[in-house]
Amino acid sequence: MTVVFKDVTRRFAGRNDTAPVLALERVSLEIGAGEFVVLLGPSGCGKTTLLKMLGGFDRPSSGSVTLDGVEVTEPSPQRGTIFQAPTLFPWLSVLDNVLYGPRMCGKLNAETRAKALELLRIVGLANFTGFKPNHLSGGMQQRVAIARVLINEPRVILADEPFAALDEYTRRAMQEMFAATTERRDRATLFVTHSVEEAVFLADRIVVMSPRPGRIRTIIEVDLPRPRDRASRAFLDRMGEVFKVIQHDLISASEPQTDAA
Amino acid sequence: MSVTSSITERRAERKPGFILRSIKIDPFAVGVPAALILAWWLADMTRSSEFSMFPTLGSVISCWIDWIFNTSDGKNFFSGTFMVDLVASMSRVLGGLVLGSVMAITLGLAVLWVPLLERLTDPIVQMLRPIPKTAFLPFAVLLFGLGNGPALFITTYGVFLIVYVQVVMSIKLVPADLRNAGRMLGSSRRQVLTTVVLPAALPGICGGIRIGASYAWLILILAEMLAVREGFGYVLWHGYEFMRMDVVVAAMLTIGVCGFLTDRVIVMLMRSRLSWAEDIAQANV
Repeated sequence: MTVVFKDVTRRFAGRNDTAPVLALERVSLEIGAGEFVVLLGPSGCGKTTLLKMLGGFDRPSSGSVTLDGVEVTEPSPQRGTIFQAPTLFPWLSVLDNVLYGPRMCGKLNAETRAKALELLRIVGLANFTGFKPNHLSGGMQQRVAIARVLINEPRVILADEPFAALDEYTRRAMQEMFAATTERRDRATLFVTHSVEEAVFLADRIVVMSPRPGRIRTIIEVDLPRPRDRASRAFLDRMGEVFKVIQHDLISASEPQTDAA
Repeated sequence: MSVTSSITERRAERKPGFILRSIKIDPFAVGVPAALILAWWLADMTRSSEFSMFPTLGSVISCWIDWIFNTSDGKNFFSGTFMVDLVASMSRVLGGLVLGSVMAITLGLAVLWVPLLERLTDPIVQMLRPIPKTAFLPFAVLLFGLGNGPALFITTYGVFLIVYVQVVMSIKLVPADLRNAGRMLGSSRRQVLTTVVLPAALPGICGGIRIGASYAWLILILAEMLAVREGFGYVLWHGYEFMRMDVVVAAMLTIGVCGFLTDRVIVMLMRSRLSWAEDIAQANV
């Protein structure tokens, strides 16, 4: 299982009076099986654009995105996405949201039903299977979004700031649950965030990106043992290391910018 | 947890008299017309003869009774024809509504599937919309002859145009990420249309169908004035021709009540599919 971004450039045409924007410029990145890669960077650095390309929702202007040598051209259940908002189907119950994937893939049977219930138990929603998403809190909805992706047994999990809208307490619980439930040796995860703490907590590798145009600034290996202790010396040292790297972007972000590229 | 209680409340709310409440006839819906009828009756008793153009409540009621039960022994052109008129008008309205709506939803989804199709059809649709639907009636009569054909054609055509605009709007406003979610979970592009876009757009589409239904009545009555020999529009128009304003008013009121009931039935049928949207809005449609 290998994901390869090769010289990916993405240019967005300008609208009316604005100049075209270079969202990504010649970005290359390789992700192997079992790896948890976090894309870290400020808004406008192209991290979500990069994720969308692997999801199959967007195509590079030049360069290529491949999964096991096959070019990614459209969405697939092999590459499950957890969006920033839960994006559940509000007319379906929690259980039916999780069973949506198997139903569409023609795999709705006793086995997948049992698996859906098991996944809902794992994410802590065993008592909410019959509820409509609207009756759940934001954090609970995001748990359903994780379960409905996991049931398809994706080879890559894509997550686009999935916990950004949650409160601090829920966010930490979700990060722990996510790290514990999605990890598998034959699966890779690409996770977008702008939180340094979240990046250090989850990542094997942190890909630090910088904006205008979106580029990879540097890659930081995080070899701390799991589960990670946020209060440990080593954890805080790693956070400090990342802060030093992003210092430059903090300064440039305070200056007036033009998006002309 | 408050979540649990609101669900149990909703369930409890559905137990006794559920159907009556689904039809949702508000006491005001009966009370306000009743008050107006009372005012009409009071006005009849006090008014002078200059206003005799407008029929009295009594004459309208006796008109209705003759229309339904043939109490005049066939003296009037409408004596005892009510059931025939009702079935004729109702079936034309429902036929036009169902055909027009199905066509509108099909084309609406097709347009999302093939954007080129919209560029081809939209200018024509937008040009046809302001042209009075009844202006096509003479052509429809030439094409289909007198009878059900032209009435059904005009009704279907009018419903289609009005529902289509609403369908396209509702379908286009379904968030892209909801469609993306369907795709990445394993739906084909076609499956996304039926399993994501259609249910997500249903609240707006239902609004379109309700407008379409009242529009179907409006157009049908105009069509029936010309092209057929039974139906509420036929009775109404003949009432004018014979200067029988009591017949005209009886027909007008009948059409109004039928339109009201049609709308209630549509809302009742759609409720179960829209309960999720009502829930989010915390409102009743």
